[in-house]
Amino acid sequence: MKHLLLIMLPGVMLLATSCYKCTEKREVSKLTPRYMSDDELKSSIKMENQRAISTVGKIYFKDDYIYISDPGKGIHVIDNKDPRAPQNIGYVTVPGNTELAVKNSTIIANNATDLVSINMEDPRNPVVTGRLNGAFPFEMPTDQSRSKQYVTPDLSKGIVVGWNEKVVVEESPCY
Amino acid sequence: MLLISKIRKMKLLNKISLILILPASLWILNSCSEGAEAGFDDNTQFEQNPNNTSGDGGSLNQFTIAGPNQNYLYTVRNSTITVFDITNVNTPNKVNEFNAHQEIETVYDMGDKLFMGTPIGMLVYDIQTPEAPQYLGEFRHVRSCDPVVAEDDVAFVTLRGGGECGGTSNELHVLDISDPTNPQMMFNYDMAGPYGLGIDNGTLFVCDGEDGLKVYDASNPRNGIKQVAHFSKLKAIDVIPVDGLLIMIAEEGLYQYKYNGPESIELIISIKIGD
Repeated sequence: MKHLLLIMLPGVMLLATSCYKCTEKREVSKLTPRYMSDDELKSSIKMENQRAISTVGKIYFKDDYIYISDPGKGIHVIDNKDPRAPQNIGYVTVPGNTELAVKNSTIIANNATDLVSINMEDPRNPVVTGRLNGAFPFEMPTDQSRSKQYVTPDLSKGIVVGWNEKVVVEESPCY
Repeated sequence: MLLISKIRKMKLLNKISLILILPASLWILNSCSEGAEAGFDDNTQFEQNPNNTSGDGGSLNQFTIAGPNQNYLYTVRNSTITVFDITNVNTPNKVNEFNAHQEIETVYDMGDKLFMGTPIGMLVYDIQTPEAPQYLGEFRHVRSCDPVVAEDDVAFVTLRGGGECGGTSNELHVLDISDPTNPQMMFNYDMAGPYGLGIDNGTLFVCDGEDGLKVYDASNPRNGIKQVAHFSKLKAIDVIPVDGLLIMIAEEGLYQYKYNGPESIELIISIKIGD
C-alpha cells in the first residue's frame, strides 16, 4: 500500500501543477552566444579602424610590424618602422582568433576552427589568400565574466565566436 | 602616397619635366629617412635579419614556424600537437596531428628542437624529420603555468602559480639541456608571478606580471644569472627581443626598450593600444 502511494504521489502533484498555470516573468542578465555561419566566417576578416585593446593576447613581430591578438576578436596592427614612434594603423577582425605566426608577409592565424592565411603586403589592405577549413576542433569560447550565466548555444545556428551580455526574459513557474 | 601622386603627375608631364621630378622625389625620400634616423641618439638600427622569413613570436604563443626554409607550422592546444606544411603559405596542409602525454601551453623552437611549456613541466621534441616530431625528454616541476625559451644548451622556464594552471609556485628555472633527453635544473629563483620571457645573446628578459619587467645577465648561465635592471609599476605579460630592440606587451600597453647586452637597457617608448 505504501508503495502504491509513493508511485501515485508524483502523479497527483503533476496533475496539481498543471491545473494552476501560474508563471512569473523575470529579467535576467545572461551571456548569449554570438553565432557565425560557415559563410559568415569566410567573409569575416576585414580591416577596421584602430580600436582599444580589450584583452592582451599573443604578440608577433615581423618586418617592422607588430601584431597583437585581441583574443576571440582580431589582430591589432602596429607599424613599427620607427620604434620611437609606433603607429597603430588598424585592426583586422578575425573572429575566434587566439594565435598567429607570420611567414614572409602572410599572417597565418586561427579563425575559430579554420586556419587562415592573411596577406599583409599592403598592411592597410589585408587579403585572405588561403583557408584550411576545420583545421582545429571547435572550442566553446569563454568569457571572463564567469559569474554570469550562459545561455546554452544552439549549434545548428553556426559556431559560437563569442558572447554578448543580454537581458533575457525568463518565465518560471510560481512557487 | 607622395610617390604615387608623383607617378600620376608624371603621366601628364613630358619627358623633360620627368627628368627634373625624378631626382627631386628621390631627394625628398632620402631626406625623410635621414630625418627618422636623426631621432636615434646613437644611430641604433633596429632591423630584423632579412633572412628571417618567419619573424619572432612571444614566448606564450601556441604557434611557431620552424623546420627547413620555415616550411612548417607547429601548433599546440590542450594536449594536441599539430603540424602544418606551409611551404606554400596560402595552402596550409595538415600533415600530422598527435597527442602528447600531457597538456601543452606554449611552444618555442630552437634549431631542430621544439620546447613546450606544460602545466607540469617542459617537453623537448626533435624535428629533424619535420613532419614527425619525436619526443626526446622532459623536465618535471610542480603544477603552474610555464613558458620556456632556450639559448645554446640552456633553457629558461618561468612558473606561475595561482592562475588557470593551478599550483602556488612562482619561480624562474635555469635548466641544462645539453642532454635534451634528460634536462637538469641548475638554478631556481623566486619570482612574483611571472608570465612570458625572452633571451637574446645572454640577456634574459622576464615579465614578472605585477612586478614588472626584470632583466638578467645570463651570459654565463652555468654560473647563475644576475638581475641587472627592473622596470616596475606595470603588469608585464610577454616580450620579443630582436637584435637590440625589446618589444614588450603589458596590460598598460606596448613598451619598447633599446638594449645592448645585459648592462645597457632603456625605455624608448610606451603607447596604449587604440587610444
